[in-house]
Amino acid sequence: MRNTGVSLFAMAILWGAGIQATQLRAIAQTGPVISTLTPTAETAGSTLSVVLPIENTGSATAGSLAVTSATLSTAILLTPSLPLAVGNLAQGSSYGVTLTFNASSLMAGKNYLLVVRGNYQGPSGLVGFSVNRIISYAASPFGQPPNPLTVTPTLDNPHSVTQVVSAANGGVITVTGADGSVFTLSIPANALLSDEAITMTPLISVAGLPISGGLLAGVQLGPDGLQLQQPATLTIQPATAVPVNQQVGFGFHNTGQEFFFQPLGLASTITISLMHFSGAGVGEGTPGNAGNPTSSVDQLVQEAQQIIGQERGCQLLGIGCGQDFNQELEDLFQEFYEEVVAPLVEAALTDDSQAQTALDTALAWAHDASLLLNQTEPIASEIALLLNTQVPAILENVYSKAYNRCLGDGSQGQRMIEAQKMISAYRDLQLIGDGSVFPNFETQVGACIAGNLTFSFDSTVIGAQIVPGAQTFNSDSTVDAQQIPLMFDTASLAYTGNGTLNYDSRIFSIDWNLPVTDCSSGVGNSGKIGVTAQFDLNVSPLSISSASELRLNVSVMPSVTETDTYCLTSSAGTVSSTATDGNYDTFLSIAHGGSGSDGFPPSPYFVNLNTPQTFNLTGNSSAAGIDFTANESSTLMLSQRNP
Amino acid sequence: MVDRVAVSPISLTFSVILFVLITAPLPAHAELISFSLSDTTLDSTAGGNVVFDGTITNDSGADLNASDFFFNFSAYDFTSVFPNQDLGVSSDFLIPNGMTSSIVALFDVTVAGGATGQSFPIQVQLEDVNNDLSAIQTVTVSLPSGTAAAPEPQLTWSLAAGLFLMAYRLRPRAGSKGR
Repeated sequence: MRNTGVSLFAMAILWGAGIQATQLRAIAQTGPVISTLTPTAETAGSTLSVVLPIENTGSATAGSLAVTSATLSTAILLTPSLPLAVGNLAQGSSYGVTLTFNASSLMAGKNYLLVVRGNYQGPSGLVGFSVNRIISYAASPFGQPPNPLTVTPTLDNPHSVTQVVSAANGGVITVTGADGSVFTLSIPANALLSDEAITMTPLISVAGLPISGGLLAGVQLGPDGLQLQQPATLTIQPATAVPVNQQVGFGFHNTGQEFFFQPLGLASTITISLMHFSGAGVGEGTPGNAGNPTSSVDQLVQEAQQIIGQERGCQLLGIGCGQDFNQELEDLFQEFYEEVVAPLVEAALTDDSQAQTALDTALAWAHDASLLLNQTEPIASEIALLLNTQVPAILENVYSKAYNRCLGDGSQGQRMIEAQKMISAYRDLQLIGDGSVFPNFETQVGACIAGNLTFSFDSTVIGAQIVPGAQTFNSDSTVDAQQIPLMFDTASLAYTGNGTLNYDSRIFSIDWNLPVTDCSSGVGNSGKIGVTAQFDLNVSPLSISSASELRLNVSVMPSVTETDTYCLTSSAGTVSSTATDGNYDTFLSIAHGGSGSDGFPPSPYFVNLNTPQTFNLTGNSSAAGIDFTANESSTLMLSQRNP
Repeated sequence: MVDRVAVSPISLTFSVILFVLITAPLPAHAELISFSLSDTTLDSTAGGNVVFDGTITNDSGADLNASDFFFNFSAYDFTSVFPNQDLGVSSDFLIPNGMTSSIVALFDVTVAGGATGQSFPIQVQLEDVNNDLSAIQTVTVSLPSGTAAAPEPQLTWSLAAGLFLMAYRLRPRAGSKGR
């Protein structure tokens, strides 16, 4: 009997507990009752996926439950096909109804009533149910219409630095702003497809910057639009230190268009990882409204900045923010892959007009994902598929399409465009170790390129050789070369040629730093000039549509001499001597950043085809206690000979 | 002789507890959310629509908007009636914690068909974004006998034509009068 008593007592307690548990979700009813649990909603492009858990909170099984309709305002139900047979839904059980809608008719940020109807077998037969939930339609950030912000940067041109960086070796460029901020750009080997003149110009200010405390330090990187194959690192050492949680990275294009926030590296040193060139910097304070940039890559970078910026502050300040940093980033990058990268890549596999955008976007995504994320699935597999299979396939398609178009086109300019795409694709394939796929590359490029180019050059170089405390030798030389034919060499993939470099005028004088009169003079002797022009493959080579957009890297090797008379007149009479100099060649090299004693050639010019361009360059150097200054003004014209 | 079964003091104690547990009224469970209807039974016509007005009481512990509440409808004749939520759909408003809303349209029911005199019960439950559930109430939509649906014009014409045909067939025939 005692046992019986204990058993009854336990039953009573359990019964009471059962009542309490039931009261958490429902008051017991006779028969099934269909309720809902919190739904989840995700957007991918115009597709909205909703999972609505329905739960039987009644007191009996809902037999043969079926969903017969699901409506969400004007959105069109895509899946599942209805009716959807769920089966028996036992008391206390739930079932997630997964619904996908074409949500293109819905407005982002608005709430919509989801109505799911169906029927089930209850105690009195087949009866209906209808449940409701509000769904907030949050469209994907990558599917939103662009609303770009334009800022107005003021450049610190006197502190600008231009340096040619080798594609094979990479390079480091440093520039210091007027306020003492130091910017260092590190470009790894093989990040460039061809050698490039990189310009870094510090920013004095940025009007309209959407950061509460304004500009901390920034720099304009050129050429704008340059695309890197590997990320470069910009390190910024601001003249003024600010707390890490007040540092906000940003970027923009051209002269301030398409502003976007971009993440800083997680270390305390301020770094920005760059896959393409534009303005870049760091502001002080909190980020404001930057709108929505047009480029999907910029949208991704801006979204990532929100996550990384918070995590950076938390890590460096040693506080826990509670966010699942890695998971949030993984979700963001996976969403970008599904919505942007995968469709672009799929299209570019057969449509080479989409190749440039697809490659720029996919490579930026892959490199940022590799840099920021642990190699978790499915992103690791997606990166591998992209780099090992899809990118080579896109490049092979570009090459083949360009070659076929080239052979059927009579226009020299158009054939140059196609040849340049072939070279770019081939160079890309070489970098990823797949260059052997086109064994007849040189022959095919040679067959594609038709006709010569001509090169004209008008150049004035004013130089001075200063011996401190003694003489200053002044050199003023003007030379020109006209219509030099350049032929394409398939081995070096360059146009080459040489011709006469005319010496147009020569002024030579000496400041003797003595109580004498200078009577020096000089005569320029015409000579030769060698020219090499290669395609610049770094700025959107696959999307060029007109010949004037073709950018070429032009190296010149002048060889002229001067016959100078060194002469002074004093009370004792006139003294003179004559010597043959190489002043123009030397000072041209110095104007291009050389030392004057490191020989030739001077650094290349980057010119657009069929467009005269003037370069004003200044340089100086010192050697053996002698100072050299040089100022160059040269106009180059590279033209196609045939239409 | 009747064997007596010994009853220990302990089992008596449990019996008393059990008795108390079974017979004592359960403490009233305070609902976190609830709704009160102005009418639980409304008359309609076939093809008609009726609106159930009422108030919402929010004791969930947090301020909620009308659009944070959802109605669940169960156990109804899905071939005859279609319940639809109105609360928080066309307009939204705050229902602070501990407050009851003014009388508003909570939901409506469209009657697709049915015979006069028929009633359609619907179990209605209120739910909120935190998955709190109200007690279930049953509402009824009736098709009273005196509110037979007016026939459609086509039906009227069919009836008239039928009556005319019957009258024609039953008319006195002139040719048979003299036979």
